[in-house]
Amino acid sequence: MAKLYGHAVKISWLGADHTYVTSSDGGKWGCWGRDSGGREICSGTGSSKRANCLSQSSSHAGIIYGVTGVCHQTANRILYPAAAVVSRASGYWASIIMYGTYGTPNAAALIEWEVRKARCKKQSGDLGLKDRAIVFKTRAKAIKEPTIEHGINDYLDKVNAIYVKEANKMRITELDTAEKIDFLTQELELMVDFKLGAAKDSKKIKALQNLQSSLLHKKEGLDGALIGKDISAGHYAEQVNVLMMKFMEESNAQLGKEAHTKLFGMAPDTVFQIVDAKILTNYHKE
Amino acid sequence: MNEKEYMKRVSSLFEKIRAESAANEEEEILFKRYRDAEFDLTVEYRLGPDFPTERREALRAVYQQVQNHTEELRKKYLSGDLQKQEFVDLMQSSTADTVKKYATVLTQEEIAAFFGHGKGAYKLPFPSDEVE
Repeated sequence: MAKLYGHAVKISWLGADHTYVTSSDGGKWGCWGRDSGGREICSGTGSSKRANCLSQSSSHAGIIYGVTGVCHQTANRILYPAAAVVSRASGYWASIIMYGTYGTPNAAALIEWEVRKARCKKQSGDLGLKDRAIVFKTRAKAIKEPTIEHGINDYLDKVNAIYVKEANKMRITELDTAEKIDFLTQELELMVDFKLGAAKDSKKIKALQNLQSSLLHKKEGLDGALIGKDISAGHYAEQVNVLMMKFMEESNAQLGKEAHTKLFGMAPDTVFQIVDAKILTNYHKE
Repeated sequence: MNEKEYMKRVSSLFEKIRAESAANEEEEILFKRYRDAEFDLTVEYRLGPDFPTERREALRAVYQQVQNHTEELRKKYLSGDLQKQEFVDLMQSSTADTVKKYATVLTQEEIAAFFGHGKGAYKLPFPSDEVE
């Protein structure tokens, strides 16, 4: 098991410390800033693979800088597998009052953190320099020109067929919520047929469709609240991202790792945000 | 409570709170219980287990006031009513105000014990070019 280290670097003109994390097997997480220099302020033993999972993406660990936390909360999230916190950093206790230990100043941020931890829980062991080299090689391969998937045209024809039936009222405003949701649950089933083929388990897919339906109902409510300006774009983005993460978690539980990865093209522990709060905020300013 | 024990307790705090929750507990209620427990743990670690209850509650009232105010700032920033630099400045000045408000409950020695020493102890690490 690797050792994870929290570091502090003095921001001279301000007096408060920037913090970042490293691991004994070569991992470095800048937490929005530099990842070298300064002094070591805490350490603990923990999985560097799990730390890396929690840090996604871009070593920001799901923190919206200044809004849900600063580098102190980002570092604490990455150090979580080692049960260490950067409490010796200057300005730390002031930032705790503003954001909490793990960047959870409100319920949405707390749930996002809970889901993030759950998604990374299965990650164990260490990254290791050798593994990291393989990860980089795989990434380089992944950006090569994609080949056309077998059966994609048939799949797209079937998707089109769902909508063609209702082509005369395809303006979204003319569809009620139940109809919109029905289209999307039908699409999910086609996607499963295409991606999983014979491995499809109808009972499990039905459960997933029910969950999709419940998620879409909740999203519909959020859409209305956003349009009616009852909630901010940032709050909307947070909530939709939490809904999506919950859906992916349930999909993994229902389908298992192999089928989930095949269906969505990403491992169950992949951390991502489907709605970018910054882009949405800019869009809704206009 | 030593540093190691504090780190252990704070890192497992949410799981402890979650385990005590009803299955269908509302997220806002769960959040409030977690926030209160985190506050209690911080006070216990920084000011000692014997810190008087009455003063602790006075401190909690200030803490909640600060939380409400900063949540308003967050909402305004995310909805575009505040510009980035404006928001950063307001968060920084809120931190300074918080220290002043804590000082109405705590002595100077207790303030130093809580926040640490030096001018940086009362500041958020906000290099503005890092705020996106």
